[in-house]
Amino acid sequence: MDKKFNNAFREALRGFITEGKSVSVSGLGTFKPVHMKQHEAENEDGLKVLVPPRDTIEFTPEGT
Amino acid sequence: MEKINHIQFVEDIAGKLGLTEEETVKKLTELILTIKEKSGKGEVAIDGLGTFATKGKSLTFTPDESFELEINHNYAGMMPVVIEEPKPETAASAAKAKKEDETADEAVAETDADDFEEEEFVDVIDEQDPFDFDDDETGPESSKTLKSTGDEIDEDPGDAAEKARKAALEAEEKKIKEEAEAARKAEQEALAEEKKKKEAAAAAAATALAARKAEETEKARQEEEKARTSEAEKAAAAKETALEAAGEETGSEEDIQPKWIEPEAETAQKTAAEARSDTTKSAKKGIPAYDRARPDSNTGTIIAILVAAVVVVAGALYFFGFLSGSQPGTTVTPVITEQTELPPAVTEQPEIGETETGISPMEQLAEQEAARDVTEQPVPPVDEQTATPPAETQAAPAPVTTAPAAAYGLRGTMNTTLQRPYTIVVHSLASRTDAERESSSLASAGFRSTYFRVELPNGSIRWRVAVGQFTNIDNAVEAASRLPEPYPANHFISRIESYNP
Repeated sequence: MDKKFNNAFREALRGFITEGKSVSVSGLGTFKPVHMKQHEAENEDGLKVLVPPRDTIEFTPEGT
Repeated sequence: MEKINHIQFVEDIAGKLGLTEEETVKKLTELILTIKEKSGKGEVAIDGLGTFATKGKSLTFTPDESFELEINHNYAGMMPVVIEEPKPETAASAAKAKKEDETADEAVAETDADDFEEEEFVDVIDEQDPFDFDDDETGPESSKTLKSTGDEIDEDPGDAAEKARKAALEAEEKKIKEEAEAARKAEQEALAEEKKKKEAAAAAAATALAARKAEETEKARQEEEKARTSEAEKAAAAKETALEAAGEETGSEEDIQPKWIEPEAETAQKTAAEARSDTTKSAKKGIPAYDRARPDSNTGTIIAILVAAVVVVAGALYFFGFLSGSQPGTTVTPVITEQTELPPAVTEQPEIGETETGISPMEQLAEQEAARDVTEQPVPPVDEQTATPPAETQAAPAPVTTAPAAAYGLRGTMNTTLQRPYTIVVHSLASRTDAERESSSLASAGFRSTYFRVELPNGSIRWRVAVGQFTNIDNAVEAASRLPEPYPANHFISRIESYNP
């Protein structure tokens, strides 16, 4: 793989995602930033906690 | 949410590399084919981006840690907040939980402190508004998540927190009662001990008094005996002298004897009378006069003195011993003292309960009032906020309404004396200046706002802007749900560990 091109691919994808934009790449799929709101959960000790929100990335492969 | 299609993506890469679109499309296609081919056999990792893999027939992508941290920079470093309040009496368990939190923090720090290229993202972070998302596609899903979360938070945590609070209060009341009972028992034991000591002291005093009286009586008896002996000697001497005088002048004139004897006899008699009078005064009255004149009168006197001493001792014992257990003037006093000390201990119980929880009813009321105000006015003007307190002040005494209202709530002035209150984080910014500006803006809108510094696992610094101070998580969640847009969808309940430096 072309390392220089791979770096450019990475920077372009990260740039758009961190700006909150979804990116569709033909033949591969769609990368989309997702905000997961705070939610209640139970930890290992059985103690109820409020899990902080989280921004993450969601990938949907093409053809699904 | 803005969408970047394939053509726009190719143009961006072409611009970065200085390639034509055709060259870029060709290289991009090669890369995609390589990813698909290699992911079918295992995993394909692109440094700084993530790992592609095939699970079943689907291609999956997992961002690497640096990418994930960059995306999640708004919330990086936030730890789960325990919903159930730690009980006051279980300070040890609270300390344990705190220790666990610290351990979790360290674990996150160790996990995320890898090869994060900080320089690449600082500018991006500075420019964007972290909470200004346009979630067209994720909106409904996110709203659904929030709704279900909100329902759970409205019901379970509230009940649990309320139950925990009640349990804590009941436990505290029980503890106070037990302590009061123990104190009362200890006091009763101390009083009983003191009573015993008093009785022993009284008995000792009575014994000493009886001994002293017996000694005085003996002394008086000895003086009386001495006086009587002296009187008898003087009387005998006077009689002898008189007889001698009578014997010398018998032949001349017997009438003269009385004239000559009379002064001496009278003096002796007077002296004896005075001595008798003195001894009688010093001794107890009631001793027959003839006993003194009789030779065996000492025995009677001793018996009388002993009887008197016994009577005195018995009287003393009766006064200090027997009466001390029955008459109200002596021993009821400690009982009354005990009873009068009990009520304050009982009446202090509610106050202790209030101080233990740290939330007085008026504080809770003030907080509910503040929440009600937010309900009516999502973006409350400062004028209305300042206009409300005087009306409350008229309805209730000023010291009660004003002081608690300033302690907690969504609006007003940030109280920096409160330790680790719950708050609503609404901004996470890379620039302190931006954080200060946002905080000032919120403060001018009537919210009590602050900002604080957070160090992320990768070592970078974030400035988080928060509004409100709350005693528990339920009140914070309630207030957050009523914040104006866009905050209801982009916030997090946290605790203020330290105020802005």
